[in-house]
Amino acid sequence: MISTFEPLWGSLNSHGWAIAIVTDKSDQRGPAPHSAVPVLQVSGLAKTYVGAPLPALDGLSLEVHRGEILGLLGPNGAGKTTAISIMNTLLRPTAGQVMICGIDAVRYPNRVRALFGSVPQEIALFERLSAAENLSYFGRMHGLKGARLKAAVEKGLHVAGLTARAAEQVGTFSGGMKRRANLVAGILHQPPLLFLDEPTVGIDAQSRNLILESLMVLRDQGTAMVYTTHYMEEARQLCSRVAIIDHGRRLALGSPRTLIDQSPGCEDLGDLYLRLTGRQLRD
Amino acid sequence: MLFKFWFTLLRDLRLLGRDRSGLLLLFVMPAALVVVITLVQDNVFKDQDGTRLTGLIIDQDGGPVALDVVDRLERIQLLTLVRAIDGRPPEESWGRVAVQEGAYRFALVLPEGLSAALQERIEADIAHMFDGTADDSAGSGLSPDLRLYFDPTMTGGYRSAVSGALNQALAATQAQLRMQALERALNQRIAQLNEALEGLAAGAESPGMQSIPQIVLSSTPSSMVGIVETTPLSAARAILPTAVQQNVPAWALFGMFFIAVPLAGGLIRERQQGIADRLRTMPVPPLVLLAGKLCAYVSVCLVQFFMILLVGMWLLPRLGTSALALGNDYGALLLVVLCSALAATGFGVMLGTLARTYEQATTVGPIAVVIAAALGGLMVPVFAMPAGMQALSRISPLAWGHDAFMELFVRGGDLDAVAANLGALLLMFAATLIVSMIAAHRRLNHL
Repeated sequence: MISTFEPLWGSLNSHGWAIAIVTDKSDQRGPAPHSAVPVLQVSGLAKTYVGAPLPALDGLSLEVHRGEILGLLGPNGAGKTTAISIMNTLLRPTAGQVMICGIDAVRYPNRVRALFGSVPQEIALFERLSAAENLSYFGRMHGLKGARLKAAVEKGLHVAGLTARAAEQVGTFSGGMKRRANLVAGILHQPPLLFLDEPTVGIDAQSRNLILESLMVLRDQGTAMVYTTHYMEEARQLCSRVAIIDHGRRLALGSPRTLIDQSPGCEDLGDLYLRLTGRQLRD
Repeated sequence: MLFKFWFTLLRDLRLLGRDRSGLLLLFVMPAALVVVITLVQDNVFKDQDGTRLTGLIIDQDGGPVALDVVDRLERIQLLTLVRAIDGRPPEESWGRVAVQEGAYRFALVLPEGLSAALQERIEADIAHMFDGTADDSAGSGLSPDLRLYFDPTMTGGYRSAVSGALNQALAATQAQLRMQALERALNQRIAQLNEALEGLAAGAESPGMQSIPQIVLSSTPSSMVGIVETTPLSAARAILPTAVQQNVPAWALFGMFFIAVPLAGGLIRERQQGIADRLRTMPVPPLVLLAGKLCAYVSVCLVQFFMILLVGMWLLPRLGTSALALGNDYGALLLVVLCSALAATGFGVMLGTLARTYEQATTVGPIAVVIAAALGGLMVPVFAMPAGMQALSRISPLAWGHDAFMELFVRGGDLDAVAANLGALLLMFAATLIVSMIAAHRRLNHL
């Protein structure tokens, strides 16, 4: 199936994220990137909200390398959203460090924002703008202009299967179409790192398949991804490694196959997940 | 950064342009308010050819005093008097019910014996004057009172106008009667004196004595001293405070502040749909996004205001009102509009930041604007409010804006005259943005 797709972002294949960094003037003040450096390095990340009795994150450490998809799994309230919010500079941690392409994201949030894309769980698109207008706007906010912007929008619409509906307002789209447009809006600028928060929730099988295939293409082209989901099969199929977290702590980290093999009696990732996080309901 | 600002501005204009209910709220609602309220209030502000109060005359007297009073009342343009129903004079009991039911705004009962009693009283007064005796009939010989019934819905101003007109007519009638009685009494004395003089002349056989001529004391039909109403400004700059001058800036301002509703709604939607968070992860400073949004909404405010000015200058005169006069200082006018737009958009940003839901913003926003408009003198002039409300009106941003417009449009003021209002509006803009930033910071950090 993947072979039926043309490469998403040809320029990424040839240049990679390292070149993207040194061509960004704002990053010349930060530490020099190095190809051996993980795209994302998180160490000792902690976050305690004011008034909360327990920390939402408690010493989380992770690394994500080029061309790797790290699945972040955990029940509701485990700390996934807090972790992603800190990694994508929306929140400041109480303690710990986040390095994106070798740049301290906590100290220099403005410098790293050009280096990642973010695909939120919500359909973060303007409903009264068309698909093309949405993509053009978010592309511009990422600094794309002129022919580069036009090409990125056209390619994004093609990837999302929305070329024929490009001029229609997003509000008129089905859930699957919105999800596909939501994904593309986060990857228009070909970032080396992508944060995806449950990007396939509540959509039809065809749209889910298209999104997953698109992500695999991006992975193969070198994009590093942090991916949260509640679908274990999706995580097994897509992720190079998974981190299972609960109560703000990392309970397991490794490839799905390795983790299952290391846990006697667990037939699949779902079994392992329930063994580690328990069967009690999390509301 | 400039092009990110520019495309954020364009994005918001595009979004607003596709929001039909928002466009209705921003353009049609204030324009309709201006037209309807101006037409409704037009007569209230007009000096002539305006409102006429129809009243019922119940003449139980039928004498000259009643006729004279009614005749004088009929000369007052404010009043239309009805003396007969189906060719017959109305009964007091019927008239009272008709006024209570609102068929007439008032009914005046001229009681039976009014003319006779008043004339008798005046004759007695004159006689006492000539006799040099005290008027011991005071209190016992009073004329019967006139009775005035008012429609219960009639406001104090109109009641005062009718009462004043009646008092004026009564005073003039009594003065005329008094003069006529005095004239008769004086001429009677003169005749007696002439007879006495003729007797003296005949006895003294001195033909040179002349008789005293009769006196004519005609009452002056109109006041000997007139009143000329004028403005403190030169005639060329004098602009009457018409319904157009009051309502066009008032409701244009009201409409501008209503921009807070779609603005706050847009901010809440962006927050709830994750668009705000998505934008915050992009390499664009939040202030650039905010500035783009504010500029879009401020420009809509400017278009909205000048559209309503066109209504006042072009449409309303075609519907029979006077045309809006803009005063002389167009630069100051533009600044007042701009500062009002900034204050309105600042309020919208604060509303959108503080409100947790779209429903909260769309409920609290309009109510706050209506209260501020009422306090600001957009519905009832501030000077007509009770003292406490007048003090409260000073905290209404719509009062600052409206006062500035009235200063320019009616009082012929300039930039100096509206500087304090401009400062207050800008201060509000700054304060609302600071409050919004603090609230947003607290929310983002879960404080």
